[in-house]
Amino acid sequence: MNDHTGDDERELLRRTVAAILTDHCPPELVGASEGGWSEPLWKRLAEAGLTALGVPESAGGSGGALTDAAAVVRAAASYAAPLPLAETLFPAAAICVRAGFDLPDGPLTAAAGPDLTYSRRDGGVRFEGTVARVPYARVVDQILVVATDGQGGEVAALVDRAAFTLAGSDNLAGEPRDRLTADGVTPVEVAEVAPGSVELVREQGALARSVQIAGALGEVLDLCVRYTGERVQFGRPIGKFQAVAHLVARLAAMVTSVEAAAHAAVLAQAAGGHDDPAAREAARLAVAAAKTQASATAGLGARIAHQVHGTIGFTQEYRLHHLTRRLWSWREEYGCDEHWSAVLGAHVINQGADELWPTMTRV
Amino acid sequence: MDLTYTATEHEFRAEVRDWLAANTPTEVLPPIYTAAGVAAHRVWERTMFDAGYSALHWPREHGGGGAGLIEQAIFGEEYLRAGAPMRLNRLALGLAGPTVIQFGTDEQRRQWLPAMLSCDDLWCQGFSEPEAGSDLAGLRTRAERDGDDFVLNGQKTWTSMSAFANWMFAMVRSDPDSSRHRSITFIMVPMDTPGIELRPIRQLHGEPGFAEVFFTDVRVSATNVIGEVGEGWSVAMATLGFERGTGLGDHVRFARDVADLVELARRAGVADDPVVRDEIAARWVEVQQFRRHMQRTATRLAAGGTIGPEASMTKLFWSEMEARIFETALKILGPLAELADDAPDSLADRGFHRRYWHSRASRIFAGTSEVQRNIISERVLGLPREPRWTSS
Repeated sequence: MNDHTGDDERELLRRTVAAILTDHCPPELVGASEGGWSEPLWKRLAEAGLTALGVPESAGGSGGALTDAAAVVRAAASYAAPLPLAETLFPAAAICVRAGFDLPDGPLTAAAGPDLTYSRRDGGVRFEGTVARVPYARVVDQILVVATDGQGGEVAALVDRAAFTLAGSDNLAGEPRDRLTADGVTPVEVAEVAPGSVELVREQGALARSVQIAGALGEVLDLCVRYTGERVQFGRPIGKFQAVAHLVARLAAMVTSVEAAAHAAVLAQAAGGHDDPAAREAARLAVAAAKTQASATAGLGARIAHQVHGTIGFTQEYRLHHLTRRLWSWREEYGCDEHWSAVLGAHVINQGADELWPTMTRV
Repeated sequence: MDLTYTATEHEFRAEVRDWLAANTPTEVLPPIYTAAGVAAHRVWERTMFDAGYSALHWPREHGGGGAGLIEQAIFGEEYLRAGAPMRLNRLALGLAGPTVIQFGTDEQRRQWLPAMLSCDDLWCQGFSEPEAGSDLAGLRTRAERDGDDFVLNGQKTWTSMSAFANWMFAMVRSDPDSSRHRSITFIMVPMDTPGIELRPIRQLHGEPGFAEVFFTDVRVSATNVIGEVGEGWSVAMATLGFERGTGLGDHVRFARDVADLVELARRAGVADDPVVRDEIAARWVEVQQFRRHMQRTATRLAAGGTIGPEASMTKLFWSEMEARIFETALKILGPLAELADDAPDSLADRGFHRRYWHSRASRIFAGTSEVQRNIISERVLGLPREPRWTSS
């Protein structure tokens, strides 16, 4: 597999992010940010040039490869950082690039769905309809919306958040997931985009969530290894009991498989470009495989983590729940495992038996 | 096993059903971990007490209902079917009371039992410690004899209801030089004794529920010891054994949960999805298996049989089944499962997430699934014992 950034450089990047988050994203901040976000933490990462990674400098980003963006998102997820970083670097950035917008400063989120439409009127474009569960809508300045006209046309637009009506709700981890309603909203900037852009938002979101699930599960594994090595019952660390050790080993295998699937999907997206249909299809299948694997594993991993932690894992003060409540939420977002395995299954069946092995070995 | 009910048993069921229909509060009471909730549940317990239903399983001479196991099971079924409130003083009526009845002196019975029944006294359990969870015999809270008193120093944790309880039944180490199991004493501790401090612990789902309880030079009269000094391990094991007779009607609760799944699938528009239907049907079959198992247990116990380590199979089965029921609920909710129960778009208005999280806890409390499997393999099946290390 080709990778734009070497493993060493990505490890350096990961450590840089980890150093900032260790100092500025303690569990107390994560807990206190539920129902909102942490603006100071965003500013710290922005100053270090980490909030526009993977977006070309010509498009207002700070350059670097998509694997770099994934490394940052993964690290942030392992700290349960209360930020719309994944939304900014994946779906929002992808639509910005596709629409030819300069990536604006500050956090972004993307809103797209079948119930959001646009119409042309008086030479302008007006949006109407709703999108449910838009991540962090209430905290960003601008929202990237992608809508259809019902006749095959699609446009992307940057719109001030204040132009929408938002109904606040949170996911299980206290991350904002707001219902957005547009009632004749006129955008700041608008561009026609290729058909399939609405679906691209879901696909990029699924990719981001796969990377985040990999990051959170990796951290959950570290917590389990540490706890079962330290917690003594019956005169020895509980990790020495095979029943417990086997659970942790199964978790380790799960983490490895999600990591691999998410990484492969990031590489496929980086190689997928925006024009070559075959490469785009391969990238989409890689995301389908990654999100299927990540969503199916998130709950199983959380189950093991809670089981080996016993009652301490059920308390607010121990940080496991910051990660597991995110896992339970993220597995459902941008398509759960049933959704993406149906996409994968439909593709495989349509291609026919002779294409099964080539498809599997390509993905 | 005998699954037919006698005419008397049918009569009893009808009587209980009528009484519950006439008396069960129509509104949901405030949660039991709030002062308002405790007050409201006290009123309900008083109603139960006046009708003679407060402790059906206690012998009549101690103020109970003197009911046999089949009647207890019938009552449990009807109680859950009626959707009646959570029992406020479960730890007193289920554990502390039967312990006092079996091991206490007449004076101790007079001192504690009536106030348990009336819920004037609320009780909490002082077994778990930071270093003694699954390994209960590793407990370290010291009790030193000083004249007519014991002086307690140490810490208990995961103590449910401690904020409102005025008594705790506790296991303490009274002889640091003796063996792990022979140096434990069972003692009743008034929660208003100087030197006791509480630190509440909030749970994952945000609710308070348990607390750490710290003891610093807490003086408790030696007359509060249950059984002999140093024999507390046997008393405590008997206490935990009392739990085994309870829960005979619990299959009704799970059956209601599965009925909720059906309702949820309808509302979510996936009631015709074959995968969803398969899963719900599988949960229903499991609940029916559990029901038959509990009926068989009840008839065996009623016929004078005893229940030993096989109780672990029951705990393992229902706790794992409960987790599967709520995992199915989340699957039905699909993309809406990420939303908190109180979110405007949520369909989970019956607290599915709270119950899902609680089902995770069920696999941990009262002996983890791993401990239960150890007991089943060693004591039911006779497989070789896992090598034991001791902490002392």
